[in-house]
Amino acid sequence: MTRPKEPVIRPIQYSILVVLAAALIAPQVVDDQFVVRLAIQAGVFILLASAHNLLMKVGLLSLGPVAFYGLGAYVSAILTTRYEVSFLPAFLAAGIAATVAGWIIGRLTLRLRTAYFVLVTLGFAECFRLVALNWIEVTNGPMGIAAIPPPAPWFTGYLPYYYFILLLVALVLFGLYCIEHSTIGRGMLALRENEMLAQSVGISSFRYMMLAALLSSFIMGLAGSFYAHFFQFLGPEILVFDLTITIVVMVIAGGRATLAGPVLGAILFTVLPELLRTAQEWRMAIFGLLLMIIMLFMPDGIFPTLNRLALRLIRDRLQRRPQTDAISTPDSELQVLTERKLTLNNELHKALSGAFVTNGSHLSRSNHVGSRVRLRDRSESLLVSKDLCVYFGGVHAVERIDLEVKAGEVLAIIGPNGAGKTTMLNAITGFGPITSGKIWYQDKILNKLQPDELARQGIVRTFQQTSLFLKVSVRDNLVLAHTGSEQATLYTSLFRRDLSRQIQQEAEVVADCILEFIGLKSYGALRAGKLPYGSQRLLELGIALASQPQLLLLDEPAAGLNPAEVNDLISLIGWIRDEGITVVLVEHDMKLVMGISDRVVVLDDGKKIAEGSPDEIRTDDRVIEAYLGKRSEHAPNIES
Amino acid sequence: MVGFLQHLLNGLLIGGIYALMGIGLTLIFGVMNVVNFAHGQFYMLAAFAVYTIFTLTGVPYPMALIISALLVALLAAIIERLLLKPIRNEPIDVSMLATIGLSIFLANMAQIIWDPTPKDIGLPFSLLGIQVGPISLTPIRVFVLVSALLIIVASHLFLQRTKVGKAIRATFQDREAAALMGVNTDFINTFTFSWGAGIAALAGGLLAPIFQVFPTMGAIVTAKSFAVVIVGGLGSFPGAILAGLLLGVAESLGAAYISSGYRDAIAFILIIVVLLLRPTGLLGKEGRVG
Repeated sequence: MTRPKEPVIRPIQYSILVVLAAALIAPQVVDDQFVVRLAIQAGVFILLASAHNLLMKVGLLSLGPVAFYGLGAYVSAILTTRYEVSFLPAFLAAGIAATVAGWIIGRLTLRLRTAYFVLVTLGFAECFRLVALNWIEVTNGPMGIAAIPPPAPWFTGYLPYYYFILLLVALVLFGLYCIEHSTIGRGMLALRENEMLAQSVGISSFRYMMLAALLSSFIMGLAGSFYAHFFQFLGPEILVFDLTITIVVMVIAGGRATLAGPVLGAILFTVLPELLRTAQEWRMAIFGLLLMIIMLFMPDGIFPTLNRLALRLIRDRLQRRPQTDAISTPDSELQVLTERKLTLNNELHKALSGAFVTNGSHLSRSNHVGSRVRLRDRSESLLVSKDLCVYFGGVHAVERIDLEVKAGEVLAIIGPNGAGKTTMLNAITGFGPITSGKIWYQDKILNKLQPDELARQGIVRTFQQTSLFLKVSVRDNLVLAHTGSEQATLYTSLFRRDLSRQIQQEAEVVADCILEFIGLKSYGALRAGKLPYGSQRLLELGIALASQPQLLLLDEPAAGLNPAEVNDLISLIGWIRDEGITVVLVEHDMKLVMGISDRVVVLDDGKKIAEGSPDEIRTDDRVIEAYLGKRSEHAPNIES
Repeated sequence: MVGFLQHLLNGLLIGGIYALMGIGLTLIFGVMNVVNFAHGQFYMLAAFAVYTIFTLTGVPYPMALIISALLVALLAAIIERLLLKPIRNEPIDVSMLATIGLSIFLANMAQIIWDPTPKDIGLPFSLLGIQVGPISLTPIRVFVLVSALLIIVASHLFLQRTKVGKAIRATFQDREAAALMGVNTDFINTFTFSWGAGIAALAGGLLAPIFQVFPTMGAIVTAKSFAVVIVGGLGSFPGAILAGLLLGVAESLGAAYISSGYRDAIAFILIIVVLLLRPTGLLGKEGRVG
């Protein structure tokens, strides 16, 4: 789903070359104006659908693509007809104008999700249409703008347009391909699969969503400009909702968030209505029916479904031969898990300390993690909270808590249900509100930072409820989690493919080491959602480690684990501490807490009631009271 | 001043219809997590059904209205079972696209069955205006206003008092918990969709004698209903009523005093402004922002 793993790229590259060659020769062979024109239309739709798909890649469905397409078309048309600007600057201006609009609308809307985002983008698109319709002095209203010049005087007939759009499509698709196979593509995938988890390992949703919005609107602006100069007439019809539907149908029915899906969808849904022309007035009814059927039977889209079918066919053929490297059954796997003897070899240590860096280049966060922390004085405090309060209305979930986490220690936070442990953790990691008080991390105030910013500072958490990138392989979970600490830019993704590849290889090395560390190596290729529960909890820990933390906050990691798995977890946390990573543990499991912690903090009813070594806590009267209740003198003595 | 009152009253009339559209859509979203793009098509189908039944059989208008609504509700129940139930666990855009397909299908089927030319139902009541002070009202408008009000009150009572209503509210709040408590959530889904469509059908049937009936009349109403639901707060019943009335009045006054060209823009501007200033809508509670 993410990227080809085996070296099967070659046949794919060849087939792409063949398609490209065929596209180049086709109009010479097929001497039919109608077909060439249809191909040009398909080209425009490939651009639009692929651009729209960029937002689907970060998990956003927009119903406003026509706004940017239309804006690009109008900017280009007005500049060339009214101000006699030549085509090329107008073409670029269209792209830039659409990008600026994308930035403004993105600033306003990217904090919204699901149906809210869908409907607000629809609102913007309709407003654009009504402006185009009513602002007659500029847009000429419903009359439209006529006599838009061709890109150049020698653009006669359809052929030059055909080759122009072919070039544009090839460039855009190649760019999108590069992005998909770079840090940016992995970050987008992580966000789409599990936004909260992605944020927790340092992937900024706003940054990636904005990037997707800007690229998407830029491409749409260019497509709009092309359309205006191809059709040479432009009216407000370019902004109708039906066009949005067409684009969305192409993307979702083709296969959202894949590279080939929208291309396939665009071609299919350009040709299909033409084929249905013979059905005359039944045309659109059949179209609607087809759409429903596709959604019913191929909710992923046509391309992923075909892809799956093809893979199954190949696998069936392979299965006739006896399997050599069969995936072992969960039972034997669990045995391996519990019996394994883990040797922290050199490589693993390097992976955790972020030493897999391209010759000390800027590409990976090398200076933060692991080994450096180990050199720090153990008594030095890493994280300090002062007077921290979190109120939800009248509920004082966390009340004036002073907390100190020392570098290199394992600190457990315990307390009865509702004591404010997770609220505290949320406040520290940026996932929850802070009412008042301050949190310092190595002398920097953290209060205003977002979860992903905190993760990039080295503060990483796990969640009480299992949180994984479920649809991705176990190994890819770790590769994705590494993304947040990679610092590749759009430039690197597009023009430095060698570096992109290198970064990915490093991420894979880190992933493999962590796989071994958490004992899931033989599960690497399995989808994370198919892992047994205990292994999922371990993978969560691995995900946090892959983002190269300095301070790791674990929210009830032992919840739901069996005793053997808890034992595993205890040794794992011990090794993590030995790697120089400071651990804060919110936990109910007393065996875990007492077995591993250097210090314990006890919360009750939002307040800190005790702090000290595990032995001190075990005998503290207030702690016993909080857990077991106060012995009442009047109550009957149960023990007697 | 008389003009203003007249515009206000017209606004309330349209607003009542928007509110009817909104409460169905908001419940469907709240209970089923489906953004129903075919909502306006149920409105359109009912208008055509009223037209057919009323002009062909001569059944009295209120009777034709009720029969049409029941027919549309039945159709919606079938659609829910065949189309929406199988894709319940897919992401929200799948059901969105499925209802978009449904919307295209229904609008074009209507075009084939009733042809695209607009139809006039003819007024079922006398044309004579009733003078209330300086404002004149036709009986049909009074009928629409009163009916809309009655339907809203009845829906509210239904949700609050009956067992099914309580089950709907429970499913709305927490589907899993409701299922664990023994609520048949499959039935609740079908019922909610059918009921929401039925209310939309009543709205369409009520407006049919006032405006013309044509196959593409549903699209803009769908868009307006979205505005109502967003402005009122997704899933908020009272929010949808308030926002519906607000939108109706704002459009009526906006068209009269600002610009009739931007009349339809008011809905979308409201969506944008509300979502930017108060993303949960006027009466929405839960924050759903990232």
